[in-house]
Amino acid sequence: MRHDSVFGTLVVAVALCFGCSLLVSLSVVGLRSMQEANKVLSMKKNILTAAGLIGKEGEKTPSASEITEMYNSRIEEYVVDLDTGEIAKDSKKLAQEDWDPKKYLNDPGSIDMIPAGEDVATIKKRTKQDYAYIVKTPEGKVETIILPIRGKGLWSVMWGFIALDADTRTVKTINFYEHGETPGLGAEIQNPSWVAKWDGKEVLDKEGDVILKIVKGGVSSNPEIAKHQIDALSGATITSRGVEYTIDYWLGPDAYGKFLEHVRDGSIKL
Amino acid sequence: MAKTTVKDVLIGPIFANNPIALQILGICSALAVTTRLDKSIIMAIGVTLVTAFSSMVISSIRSYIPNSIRIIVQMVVIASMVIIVDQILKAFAYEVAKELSVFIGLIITNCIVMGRAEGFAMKNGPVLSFFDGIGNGLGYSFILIVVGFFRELFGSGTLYGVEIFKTVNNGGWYVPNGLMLMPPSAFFLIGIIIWVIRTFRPEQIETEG
Repeated sequence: MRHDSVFGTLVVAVALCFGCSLLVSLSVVGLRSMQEANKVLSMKKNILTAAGLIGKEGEKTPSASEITEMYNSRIEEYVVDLDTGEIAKDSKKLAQEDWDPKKYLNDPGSIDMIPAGEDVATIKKRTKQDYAYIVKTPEGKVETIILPIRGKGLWSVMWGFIALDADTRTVKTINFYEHGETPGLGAEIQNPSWVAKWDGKEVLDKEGDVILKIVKGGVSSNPEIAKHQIDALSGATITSRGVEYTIDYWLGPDAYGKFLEHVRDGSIKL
Repeated sequence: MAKTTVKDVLIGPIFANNPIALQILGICSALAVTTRLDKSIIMAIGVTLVTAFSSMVISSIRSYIPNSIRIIVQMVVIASMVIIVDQILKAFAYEVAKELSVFIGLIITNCIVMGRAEGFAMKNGPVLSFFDGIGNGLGYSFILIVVGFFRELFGSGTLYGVEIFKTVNNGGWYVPNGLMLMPPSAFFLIGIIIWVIRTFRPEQIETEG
């Protein structure tokens, strides 16, 4: 048969590859703008959830335009230089393509490798600058500070946001939006009843050091100790420890620690 | 040989010739995605569509495919289909796509898709191949949904994310069965399903020795 000759085989192979690449490219290019918009929207939703503005129980899921509108009116974005803790000079409204933190981490110009000894969250690298999202009251007072955090759990890097009170010490909530932990065990980091345990806990002590611990077997009966403790997830020791280390790193002096210190002593006006 | 009809290829693979229970194909993804019912259903739909369309495409170009490179040709067609499915999911069902993107990629390596392309589509017409793909997809879906149902119910106490048994973590009475969330439990469940099917259809039992 003609198709089985060497030439015939080559022709079929080339034609097929061309046809398939055309189809794949068309679908990628044609759908890209929708996908980008979805990514941005999902991130805005995560931030609003961390801010406690949406996602309350019994509330219906807000539409895309509601999310965008609420985000634009309630959230202020700041770019923080993590080394100095200052607001970066070229801080600007984020462009759409800036929304993918994973893309940033692949750009050698904008990242620092974390020295092995300091890498408590096992994330290897971090961007030189990162974002802080601020929610203000209608009178312009800072209400919530939302910081992106991530760290290694048992299987995967857990991506999330932590929302702090204006005093920078008290947790309002924690929202992990992406992870690959075991469903039913580690994945319970998203369980609303576990997330609710974070409300009102104090993560930083007077000196600004991270003192939050995730403890097995229930928090202490002494409220003075319990306010620095979170009950670990049962059956998910390594995930729980990963969350603790994540908080240690991101609120510590190697990441947002200096920024939070500046906010506390008033040298940064938000 | 009797002529194969659309009905045969559509209904046959569900019980009589189930790709997972009889041919033991596609086990890998059946273990990976069945911890929750919603994921199982999305995966089932994905595999069904990819099997149907790739079988149809391969069948319609089957007389042009050189014998020496036919497996690679099938792979290219299947891989392209899968990428397109993934792109469409990312554009129209982003939340689902985010959780499933790894598994969607795995459809490429799902033995059922390739098995139907090589075993059926290369010998039959496009329409019949399309329905054969749907039928085998349904057979796969049936197992996945049954396994997903039991794993989510006993592993997390929920069904489709809705609480059925109130778990201890949420202040209820049900202690979730951790084994159900681990891949081996899918083996046990698939084993039980095969047992049940073969009890009612003894002709599926292999002769020993």
